[in-house]
Amino acid sequence: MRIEILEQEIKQLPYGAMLKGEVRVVDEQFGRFACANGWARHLPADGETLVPTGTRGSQDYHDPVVWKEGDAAQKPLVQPADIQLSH
Amino acid sequence: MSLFATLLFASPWIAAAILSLSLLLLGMAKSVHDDVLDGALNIVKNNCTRMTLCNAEPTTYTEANATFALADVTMAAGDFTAANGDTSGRKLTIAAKNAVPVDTTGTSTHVALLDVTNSKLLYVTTHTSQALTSGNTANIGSWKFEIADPT
Repeated sequence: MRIEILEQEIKQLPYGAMLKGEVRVVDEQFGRFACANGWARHLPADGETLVPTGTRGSQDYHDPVVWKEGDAAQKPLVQPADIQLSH
Repeated sequence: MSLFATLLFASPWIAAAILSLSLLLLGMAKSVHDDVLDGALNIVKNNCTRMTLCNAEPTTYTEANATFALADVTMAAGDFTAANGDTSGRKLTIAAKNAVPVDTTGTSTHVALLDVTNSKLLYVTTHTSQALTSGNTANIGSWKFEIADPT
C-alpha cells in the first residue's frame, strides 16, 4: 500500500523535520496522520516505526519514522453474517 | 353416545383408523429443552480461543488458521453470550473485536471460530469482501448464530 500526502505541515525540530497532514491511501481509504518524512509503507499502529518507501518532490525520505498519533490507523469494519439454524 | 362410540360399534375399522390418525397428528409436535441447545452453544463458548479473517472459505482447521488466514484475534469465554433466540430457541452472540492486527495482505471474505487446543474449525460465516493490508488493523463487528426451536 502507498500513502499520498494531500496536505502537510512541516515543523523543523533540532532532530529533523516533523510532518503532519492528511493522507490518502491508494486504495481509496482515507485517514489523518502525523509523522516525519512523508511516504510510509502503511497507516501505522500506535508507536510503530514506519519505513518510508519512496520520495516526494526533491526531498529524500530515507529514515524510518515513528507514528505520533495512533488513532488514524486503517481499521476497516468486517461485519460477519449472522447464522440461523433450524431443525 | 359419542360419534366415536357410534363409529366403534358401527365400523371398528373406521374408528381405529380415525384414532391412529389422531395420534399421528398429535405426535407431530416437537420441542427441545434450552439446555440441549445451550450444549451446542457452549461448545463454542468454552472452546473457541481464536477468531480469524480468511480470504476464502476454510473447510479445515489448517485452512482457517493458516492457509487462508489474514488476521486473527484471541477469544475467550467472556466474548460469547448465550441468550434466547431472536426468533426462537437460543443464540450465541460473539463480541466485536477492534484493532485486530492484519498479518497478511488480502481480501477477507470469511470469519472462522477456532478451537486451537483441539485443532477444530468450529464455525465459519461470510462477510462482505474487505481489503486488508498487512500491518494495519481491522475491526470485526459483533455477530451471532441462533439455533431455533424445532418446527
